[in-house]
Amino acid sequence: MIMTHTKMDPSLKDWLVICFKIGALAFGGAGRGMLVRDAVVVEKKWLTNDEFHQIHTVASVLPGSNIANLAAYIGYRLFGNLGGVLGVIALVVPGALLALMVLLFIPINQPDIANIFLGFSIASIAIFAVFIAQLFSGIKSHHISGPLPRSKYVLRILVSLTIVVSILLGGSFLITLLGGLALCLFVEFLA
Amino acid sequence: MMTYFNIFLAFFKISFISFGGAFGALPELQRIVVDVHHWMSAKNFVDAYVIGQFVPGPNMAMSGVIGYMVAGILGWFVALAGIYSGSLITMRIGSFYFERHREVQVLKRIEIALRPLVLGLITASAIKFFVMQAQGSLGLAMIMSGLLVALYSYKKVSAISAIFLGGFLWWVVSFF
Repeated sequence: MIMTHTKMDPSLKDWLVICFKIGALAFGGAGRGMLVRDAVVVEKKWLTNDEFHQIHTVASVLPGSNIANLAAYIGYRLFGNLGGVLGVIALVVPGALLALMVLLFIPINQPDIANIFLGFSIASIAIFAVFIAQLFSGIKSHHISGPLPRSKYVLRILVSLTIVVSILLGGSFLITLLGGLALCLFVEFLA
Repeated sequence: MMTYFNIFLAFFKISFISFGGAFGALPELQRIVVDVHHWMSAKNFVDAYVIGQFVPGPNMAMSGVIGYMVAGILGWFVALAGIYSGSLITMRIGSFYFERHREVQVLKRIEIALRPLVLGLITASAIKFFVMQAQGSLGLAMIMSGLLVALYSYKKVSAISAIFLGGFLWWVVSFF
């Protein structure tokens, strides 16, 4: 693969257009992070691929909406506070306004419309299952080269299962979250 | 005034406990909104979720819908401000720290280490919402989902087309 390392000067206006476009046109869950990458790394060359992936790692490891985290970090990095704040606003407002329009102008309680919307929503979880399957293959990853020890893989699956069961049985979210965090770190660093 | 503040706070909190995206924290959001504050019924919550899924951009557009249902246009605003100011603060601190230390290896390792947590939270949310929405017709919902996943994975039907097809199929099925 040929990588060009010439970076271009970023423009705040172009950045806001990118955020707005993703906010207004990107439907359906996972993969939106890659749209940001395509725009910022491939098209505009404001960041190298490595830089993007480091930022992406920080954005996904810290809590919060992943795509908003990503936009906030890239905005801060390229343009300072204003770039982060305005970038997130440009990303969020189109969908949030559209959602409000749907609520106000579409009679979602009318039975036919309710069923169509329910179908949309069930379908969106079905498509989301594909993303979950990808996450599942992601827990086989090892931080160094070479395969993950089998025992660790099994432990990771058990941690995930424990969390699923705990939430579905109505266990406290906060305790599940903190317990899950502790278990994950234990499996990685001590087990 | 107190209501606006409480709405803001509810979403602000959610932002700090959503690991791997806000989807995983939806059961907790539901608990806060429906069970703790009694702002809306479980059905309204699902409606808000459905609308949020339907629009483009970050899927927490549902925050605004919930805010609006509870307290009108200002509620819409404070709910969104709550959830996304959380992101802005977290990332301001995170980027500040990371730009100075750049511990890429450690961070990558932690990211991998937390994957089972993210997987667990998201799977639990997905199961919970799938069952809540399918209501009495779980079997039908599963058959339709299997079909859509197959179309999406093997026939390269786009996500948005698959979702529209789902709406149409569920509408047709409702006549039987």
